[in-house]
Amino acid sequence: MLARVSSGGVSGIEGYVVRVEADVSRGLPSFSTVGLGDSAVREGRDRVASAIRNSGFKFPMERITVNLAPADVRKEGAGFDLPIALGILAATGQVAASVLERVAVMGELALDGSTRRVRGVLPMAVAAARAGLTKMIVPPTNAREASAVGRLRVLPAASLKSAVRILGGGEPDALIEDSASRPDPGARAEDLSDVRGQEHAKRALEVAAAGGHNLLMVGPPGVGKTMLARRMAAILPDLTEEEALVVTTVHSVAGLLPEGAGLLTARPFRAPHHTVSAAGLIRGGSVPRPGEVSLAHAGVLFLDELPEFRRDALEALRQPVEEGRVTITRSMSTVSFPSEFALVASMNPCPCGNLGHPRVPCRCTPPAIRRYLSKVSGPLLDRIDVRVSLGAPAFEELAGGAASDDTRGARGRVLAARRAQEERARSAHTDRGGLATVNARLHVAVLDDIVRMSTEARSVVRSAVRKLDLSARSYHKVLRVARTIADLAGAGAVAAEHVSEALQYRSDPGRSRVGTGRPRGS
Amino acid sequence: MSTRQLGELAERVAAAFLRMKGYAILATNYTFHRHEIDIVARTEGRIVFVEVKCRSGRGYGLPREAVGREKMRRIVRAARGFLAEHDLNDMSSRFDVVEVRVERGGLSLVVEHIVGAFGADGRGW
Repeated sequence: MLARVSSGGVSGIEGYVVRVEADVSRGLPSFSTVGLGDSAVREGRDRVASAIRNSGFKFPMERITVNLAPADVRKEGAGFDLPIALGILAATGQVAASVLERVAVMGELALDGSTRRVRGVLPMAVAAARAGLTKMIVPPTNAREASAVGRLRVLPAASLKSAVRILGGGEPDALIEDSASRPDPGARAEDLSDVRGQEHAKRALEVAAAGGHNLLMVGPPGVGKTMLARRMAAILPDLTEEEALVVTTVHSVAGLLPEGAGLLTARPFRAPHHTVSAAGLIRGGSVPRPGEVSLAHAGVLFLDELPEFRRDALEALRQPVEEGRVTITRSMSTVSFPSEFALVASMNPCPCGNLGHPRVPCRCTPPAIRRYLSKVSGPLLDRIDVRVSLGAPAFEELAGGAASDDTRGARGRVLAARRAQEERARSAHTDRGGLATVNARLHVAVLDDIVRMSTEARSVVRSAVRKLDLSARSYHKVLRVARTIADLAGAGAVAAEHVSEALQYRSDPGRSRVGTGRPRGS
Repeated sequence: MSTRQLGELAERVAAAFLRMKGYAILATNYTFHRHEIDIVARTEGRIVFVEVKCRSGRGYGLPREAVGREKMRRIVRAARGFLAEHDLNDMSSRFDVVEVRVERGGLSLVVEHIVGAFGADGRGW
């Protein structure tokens, strides 16, 4: 007899419905799985057989054929165990086939018949709802995640036996919730005031957050670069529901969702170590999974000690930084992952880190400094709108009381600036579909429309272009940053002071610093 | 007693044992293109292909452990031949192993019947 069960698979971060067909017929006893399953799918046979027997059901000694449709898409993972098991039970009359209609089923099986959680349940749930399925049976630790899609009735099943009971109309098992994913009211969030001094850098952080600009902090070790970067996510506006769905999906597909977690609500902060490979940054595995750039989507990607990163890794960053997504082509498929993150990078001014320090001398030779700085390529540096130098704070700043500017204030200003940008994008350019809302992504074609400058501002820009020898790209960057600064100030037109501040964020680690703070002739 | 004689004795013991359990013996030592099946029987509307294994002493492990991948493949091939020859392709079938152990220095024979020992894909069931 033949039975059908709906399940799901994931390609990239897109879910799709997989129809599992189980046919049990007379003949030499055998078990074959067709439909491009990987080895985890094919090995499911032994798990399914044991789970069925150990749950008190009969595993038929017949010819069993399992087909996973559509047959031309590669399927991976052990999540088909439960639907295959239910299909075999239905095909042998141990479960009524009618109860499997309009139900999506996913779950790995342990040999004793208990269910284990699977990756990518959220996008599968989205696909299931789209396909008109109404119920979904998942392992209890996947239940909260599946529930993020409102339109499905999620039925957690802790074992094959429970799944059969639930399908027959019984009570679902209790879902397992991740205690860590619920906000802890007693916890203190990381606050900007934890970093003493560095007002200039805090301001730059705010500008970067407000306009979606990439940020580079240059300064000696221990002045608070890492602490500041960690606080970037806190001053960004809350995730929208749509963003939360995408962020959760990416983590779900990567298998990095905490057990029992529902929708992720915090902006991600990813700080890959500088030994990370290009492959680790962009994607992982021969079956593509989201890499660091995608895990940082809608959040912050922090690259500490930028010049220490491998060259190919940094070069690989260009596409995601530019396009907000990465596209990966494999022999079997092409997938693309979102990667719209705020890039925050930090570096020392020289290998010893003391170049430019008012008291500590730098011990690096000029060639060593040049080598160090040249590791960061021009094109990448070019894509970083806001660059700022941090100095060693004075004792008074360190010992001074807390809080110069707290996170809440910065957050409020950032939010207001973001609103202004959205407003503008909506009103002025609804005809240009897909126009990015943040200033950092403003296209050159609309820059002049959107960045309205006062007469003085215009003259400041003009003289800057002349004196600083600004390239066209740098010029556009200054305009975008100036627009953000004006938005932070709540100004409609960009004024001279906004442009002057924007020009300050152009400090080039290679040019402006070499040669200062170093005794001549030493 | 030679190994061969022992093997023949074991096959007779196994057949008698199956008959006792109510199986109808359809063939013994059935060969199809040099692939051999020790016993072909029938029970409850199902064809059962039986491989008989015999060992005296535990020195070489359990007899059932001597049914390897290649042996399974040969049995399956012969089984397909048998089903085709007798036009029984739409019958349910099964592969069993009957092991006969000589114990206590030849004073007793222990028979063990492993129902559904393996599948047609040559893997454990």
